[in-house]
Amino acid sequence: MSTVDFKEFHWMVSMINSIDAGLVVLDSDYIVESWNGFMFHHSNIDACDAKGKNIFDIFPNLDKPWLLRKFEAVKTIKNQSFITWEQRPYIFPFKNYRPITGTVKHMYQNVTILPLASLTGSVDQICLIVYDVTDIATNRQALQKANEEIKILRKESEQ
Amino acid sequence: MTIPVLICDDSSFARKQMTKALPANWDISITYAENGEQAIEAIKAGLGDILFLDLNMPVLDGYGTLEVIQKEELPTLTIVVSGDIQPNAHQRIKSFGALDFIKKPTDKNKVKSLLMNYGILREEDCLINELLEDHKEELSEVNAQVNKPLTADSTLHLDSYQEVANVAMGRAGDLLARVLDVKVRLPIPKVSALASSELHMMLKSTDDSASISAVCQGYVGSGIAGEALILFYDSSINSLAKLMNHEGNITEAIEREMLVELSNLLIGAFLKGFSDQLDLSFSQSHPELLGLHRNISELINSDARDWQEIVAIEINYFIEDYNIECDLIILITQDSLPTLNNKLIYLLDE
Repeated sequence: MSTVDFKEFHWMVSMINSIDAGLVVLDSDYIVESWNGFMFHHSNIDACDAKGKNIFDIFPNLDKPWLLRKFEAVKTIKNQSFITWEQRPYIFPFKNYRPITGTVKHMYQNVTILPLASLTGSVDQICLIVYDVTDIATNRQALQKANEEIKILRKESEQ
Repeated sequence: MTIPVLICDDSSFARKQMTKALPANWDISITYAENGEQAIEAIKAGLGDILFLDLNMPVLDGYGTLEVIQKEELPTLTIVVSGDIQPNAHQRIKSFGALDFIKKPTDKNKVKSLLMNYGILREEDCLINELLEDHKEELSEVNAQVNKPLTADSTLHLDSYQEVANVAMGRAGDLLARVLDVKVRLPIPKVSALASSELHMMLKSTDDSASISAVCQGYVGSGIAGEALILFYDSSINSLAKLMNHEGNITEAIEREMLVELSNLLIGAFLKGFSDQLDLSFSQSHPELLGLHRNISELINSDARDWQEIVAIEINYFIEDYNIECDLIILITQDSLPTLNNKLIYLLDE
């Protein structure tokens, strides 16, 4: 690798590493190949420890049959797939970014599953992108609760 | 000839760190002082030909101590050791009669080269073999003394939090001073352990009636997590706008802009300073504007559903001449404390 390539590689990696979303690359056997800073910071498992391990061994409480179905579908249809917090509040057991003044304990997550096509076009790897959507989720829930209360108040005032 | 050296710092962690940074096998006797008053007494007693002096201390701070030394023409060479690294602090302390300035955390090689530069330490001072044994005993005695209170109980940890916080606070203050081109008065960070349900009370005691605006940002990494809060007193908004070159009417958009900018600066610099010293890295969430012009009870949820013992570091920044005041509060979760304590012990025993 020439110096220029290496420089480019270096900033590319620091960008991926510090982006505020989780990035995980899994091979065809669901062994972790890449694990960025977000995943490290929130799980306290660093990339060296995560790499080479099966994602279902790292997080034994994942719903394996359900996730496998999603992963396999992505590989088959070669198209991305989404998991939103409204389906399941979270996939990875991370804590709220605001662990003290936050109103919920865990981090709500949206997860995107991307197929990564190889140079020959076959999909051997998938990439998971994990977004922290705790703010959106808690605000939505607070809004719904407030609306319910307004409804009740309105009914009471009509009676 | 044994040189009497005096180390003056309110934190035992910092005193120990400074002791470790002194050249090995240097023929000295070390005396410790916890504040400026004790230091003056020690110098008068002939225990401080060379003084390593902290700036932020209770009772009599470093500037005050320098003033007394100058006024009374006390026989001591002073080297200021501080986390306060604002550009004009360096000059100010020299004008107060200090020989030079060492940045915290103290670096062994820098201390040595500085002492050599001023001819305080000569190469042969480090080579006198016959004094070596003698000195070793002395050092281990000193270490035993310094170690004693440190291994005792949990107060150890708060003390080392205090020192690490001091350094980080200095860096944040330095940035603030540079960006706004002002002199920032650095306080002594207040470190306390409290129950999360008491957080409200603690914040209330900072100010119960004033209208404030607040920004909150989460951080997590290497098994350590918590939140950073910026509380900004609304009475300072006009002065801050002037400093940040916002002309004309101060709209709410401008206020938001200023607050987020201020919190980026202070929280970012503090966390960077904190994590650098402990050799770890953090992810930071986006800053969240908790609210503008409220009182504190409206801004922070006092939800006692999840009781935990947390550590809070409170820093009150004050910009002289402009009457701008803001609080930076760093909260650390209970889960993080074992990891953090381990790191701090490692830092101490380095």
